[in-house]
Amino acid sequence: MHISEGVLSPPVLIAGWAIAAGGLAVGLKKTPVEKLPETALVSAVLFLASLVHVPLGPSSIHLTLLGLAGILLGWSAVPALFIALFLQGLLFQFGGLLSLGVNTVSMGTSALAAFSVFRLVSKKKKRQLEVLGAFAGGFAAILVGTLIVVTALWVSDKDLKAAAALLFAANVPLAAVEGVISVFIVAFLSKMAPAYVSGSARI
Amino acid sequence: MEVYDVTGEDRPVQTISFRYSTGEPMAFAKVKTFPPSTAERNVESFVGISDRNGMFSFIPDEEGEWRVDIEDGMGHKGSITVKAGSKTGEAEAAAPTSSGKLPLPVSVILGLSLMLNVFALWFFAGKGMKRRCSCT
Repeated sequence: MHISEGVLSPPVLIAGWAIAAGGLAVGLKKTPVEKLPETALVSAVLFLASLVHVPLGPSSIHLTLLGLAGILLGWSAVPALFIALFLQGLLFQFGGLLSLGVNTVSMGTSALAAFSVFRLVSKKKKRQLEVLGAFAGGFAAILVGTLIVVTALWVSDKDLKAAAALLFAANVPLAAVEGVISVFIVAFLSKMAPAYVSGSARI
Repeated sequence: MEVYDVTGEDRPVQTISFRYSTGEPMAFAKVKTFPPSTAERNVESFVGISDRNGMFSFIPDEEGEWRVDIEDGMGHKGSITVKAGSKTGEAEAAAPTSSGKLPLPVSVILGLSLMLNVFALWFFAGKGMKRRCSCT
């Protein structure tokens, strides 16, 4: 889901940085100091998740855990993602420093979408609904993120229409995998430390 | 990216192995080759597709530094310079653009340590501001 350096046009890069700056400002404002250890932990998990490859048919996909980050952190996921993406770009060459703005927007929006879906589905605080919400959130995060990536690529280069459709199809299995992972982690946390799941209503 | 050369031919074949930073082959991606004479004007001499293993071969018909660009159309792009020798078959690869990477375990430890520092700074700065606000 990372967009590399040199792929996007300057207007898209500038727009990405402008939106990311706004999102970061809101995210920083909505992150109380007491929640920083939790935010740091999720940021570290996001930083490492992209190194985990899941074999899928003849190819493999790498995890993002955007849905989980959104469910656990709400708006705080935006600064957590920004830091993780910056370090991934710097050390793993995933994405890039110029495209960091657009990547923060696509992944930050995914995390926020996941949280909104999770909150909507698990409104009644029932365990089954929380599990269902976790899957829906994890799944929706990848689809929303892919949609933003495809839009950014399409605006930068109209010839990418076919590739965009391919990218969307390739990310559907990833969405399912991330949905299942979110289910396991949210089910575990709602049993062992429910405050981390229900207390995430900070959006 | 790694570059192999086939020597001993009149016109040496350059074979490039394109890989993502994760090590996976950059399969079926669009490759453009730019000869030294037209590289600055971005006029390519040959356009092709990498194979399923991320391999791409071409025969340079000019001596000097060739630029080879690859793009998978899904947000990933790379570029490499290949130094094509004379007809005697001498060819060598210039440093690929993705060189200079730290070993993965070092990158992981460095990343986590930088992250810890950033969050610690944020934490203490936030605590300090809170204390100052409660004092006034």
